[in-house]
This record gives sequence, C-alpha cells and structure tokens, in this order.
Amino acid sequence: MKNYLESFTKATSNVLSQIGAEGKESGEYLIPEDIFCKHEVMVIIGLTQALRGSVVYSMSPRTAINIASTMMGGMTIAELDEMARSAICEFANMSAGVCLTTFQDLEVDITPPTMVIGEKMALMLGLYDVFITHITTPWGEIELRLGIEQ
Amino acid sequence: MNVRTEPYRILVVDDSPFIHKAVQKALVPEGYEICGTGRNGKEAIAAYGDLQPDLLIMDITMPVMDGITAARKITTEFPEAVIMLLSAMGDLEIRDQALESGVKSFATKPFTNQELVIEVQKLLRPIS
Amino acid sequence: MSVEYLTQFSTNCIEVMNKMTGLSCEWQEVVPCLPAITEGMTVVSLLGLTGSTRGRVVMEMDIRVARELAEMMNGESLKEMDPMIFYSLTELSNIFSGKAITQLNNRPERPGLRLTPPNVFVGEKIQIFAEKATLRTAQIRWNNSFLYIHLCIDERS
Repeated sequence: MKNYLESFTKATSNVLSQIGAEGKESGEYLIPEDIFCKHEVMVIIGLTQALRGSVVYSMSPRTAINIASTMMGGMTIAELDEMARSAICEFANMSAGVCLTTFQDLEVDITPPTMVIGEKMALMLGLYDVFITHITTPWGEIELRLGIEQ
Repeated sequence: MNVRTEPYRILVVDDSPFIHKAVQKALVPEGYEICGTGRNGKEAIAAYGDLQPDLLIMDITMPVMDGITAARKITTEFPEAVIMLLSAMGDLEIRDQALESGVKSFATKPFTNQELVIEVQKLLRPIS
Repeated sequence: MSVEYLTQFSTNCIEVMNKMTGLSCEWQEVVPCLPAITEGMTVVSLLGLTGSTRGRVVMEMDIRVARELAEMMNGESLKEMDPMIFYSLTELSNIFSGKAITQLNNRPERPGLRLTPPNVFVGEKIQIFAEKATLRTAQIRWNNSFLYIHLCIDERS
C-alpha cells in the first residue's frame, strides 16, 4: 500500500509543479495514530475495480484558498467560495488522474471528487489499514490519506 | 455412538469488527465457542491451520485475500473443513463461485441472530 | 433514473435497518439539501459510485441517532464516540448499499455499478460539496429519530 500512496504523492507533486507551485514530500508513509483529522478541508476520491478504497487530500482552508488562487492565475480569493472549491476538487481529480496513468497494469476507476469541510473531524476510511503522508507547500501542508483493499 | 459434549469451536473471519461481535452475540449464548477471529483471507488460512475449528464463518469481501480464494485454499488442504461464507451481496454469480470453492453454506447479510443460529445448526449437529 | 436509484437505496436501507435493529421505518423523498443537518455533531457515511453512473451515496445523521442505531445493532449500551458506533454504521451502509447495487445491476440494462467502501466522517458544522451533480434526498424516520440518504449523481453520467 505504501507504494500506491507514494504514487499518489508523486502525482500530487507533479500537479503542484504544473500549476507553478513547489511541494516538498515528507517521504514518510505512516499509519495514522488516531482517526482525528488535522485539517478542515478534505477532498475524497473513491477507487474501484483493481484498487478498491479511497484517497483523501486534506488541507487547511488557507492552503486551499492559496492553491485555488494559484490555479486561477493568481486571482485574489477571500474565502472558499464555489469557484475555489471547484478548483480544489479539480486539483484532487487531476492528481488522482495523473496517478492512475502510472498504474499501467491496473484497471482502476475513480469517483467524482467530493469535498467535505468541517470542524473537529474524525475519519474512518473503510475498515482496513490506512497510510498517510504529507507534502509541504509554500502555503501549508497537504495531507494524503489512502485506504485500499489489497 | 459418540455423543459430543464439548462446545463446537467457531473461527470468525471478517474485516468488520461489528460482524465479529454480532456473530459472538448470536452464537455464544447458544453454547458455541468463538475460538478465534481474523480480518482477511490470509489470516483465515493461518488461523484455520492453527486452530482446526469445527466451523469457519468467513466474509467474502475482505482486503488482502477474499473469502472465496481463502476457502479454496483451506478446502484443498483440509477437505473436511466446514465453511460458511457471508456476503452483503447475494448475486447468483458470487453464490455459485462460493459453493464451487468447497464451502458448505452461503448466507447473506444482514442476518438476525436466529437466522445465523439456524444455519449453523444445519452444519453442526446439536450437542447432547 | 435517479428516482429509481434513490428508491432502491432507501427501501434497502429500511429493510436492512429492520433486520438489524427491529425498527420499522418509513422513507420519503424530501427537498434535496446536503447537508440536511446543520447543527451539532453529525456522522456521515460516504460511498462512491462508478460504472455507467458516477456519483456518491451519503448517509447522514446526528451523533445521537448514530449511537442509538449502533446500540440497537449491538444489543448493548455504547459510550459516546465508541468506535463500535462507526464500525456499525460502516457495516450498515455497506450492506444496504451493496443490496441496492446488486438489484440495480440485475436490471436488464446492466449498469455495471460499483461501490467504494464507506468512508465515515464525524465532526461539527460538516459541509459536503459535490460539484456538477444532481442531488436527491430521502429522509428515513422512526419514532422521533431520522436520518438522511443523499444520492449525488454526476451530471456527466
């Protein structure tokens, strides 16, 4: 599973550089200590067929706004409005999509992205082991969480 | 005629902790013993070898190794194994695959306690 | 199409709830609104859908209802935020959604639908956004409690 998470992480870094941002991967793929989430903004993309599970991209609202702004050519965004949310969902969709192109022998389908925003959140990704990792961007951290059946 | 006096030993394998508990609650009051639990097909194979239970109740959809694959491997090594497979989906195709893997019984979730007990009693003779 | 899908998910939900808890529930379609519960701590189970139709199935309830259901499913009291509450809801959403998908897939048009495993979220002020999706919402009621099933189907499906 760590290999798959590494692939999703590299794809996310790839997309960050495509939009003109630099992301530094932590290089660590860990089992989360608990089910509580650090960040308030999450985008979930489900996986079916050869890999069944979900990948979750989470970040703070500020990080999300800055990524969205960069994706929209530096446009000033005051809050996570409809356009900003759409941009972040597209960011996650692109990252997952790029990752899937690297799985040459696997037929994997992805669901449309769903954004969940909340406070004091806990998350259970299915019933199996989950791994997390982080990418540090100029505007804060993106956490990637992957839970799949193997 | 040999009369069994000891409780039947049942191994429960499912990725859901809820199912472990539900099966335990249904069967222990009826005099069965849950001798072990597991979370996937690989654990089922290892545990079956160690514990040699009277019955293996196992989910079909599990990570690492699914129940049908595990059942095939177990019945190859232990042809006398008594296995009941559980699934949330009752597709005919899955059912046929399940029965072809050598299992003795196939049940669809959700089940009431009584339904599970009845199915188990069909597989294991009541204790005198 | 999405009306039939909502019907399948909702009727299977109440059948499974009846079997697992003994509760007699009713369902009705309500004005689509996601989230439907905007105060307090809520529990959401989110499953992704792929195949000829892409989208999400979302089960939403407040924490009190989640605990009530889990206690009935387990036949015992559970403490607040007991992990068994979330394991139980994961199992409930897995089972009723799996049954709904099986019935939909057995239709003549064979839509080839697949579900992801459930992702369960708990939190306060939860907002859920599904871009470019058609939303339908069902409310499932019993006694003085209720939960919601939302079906968000991608408009490009």
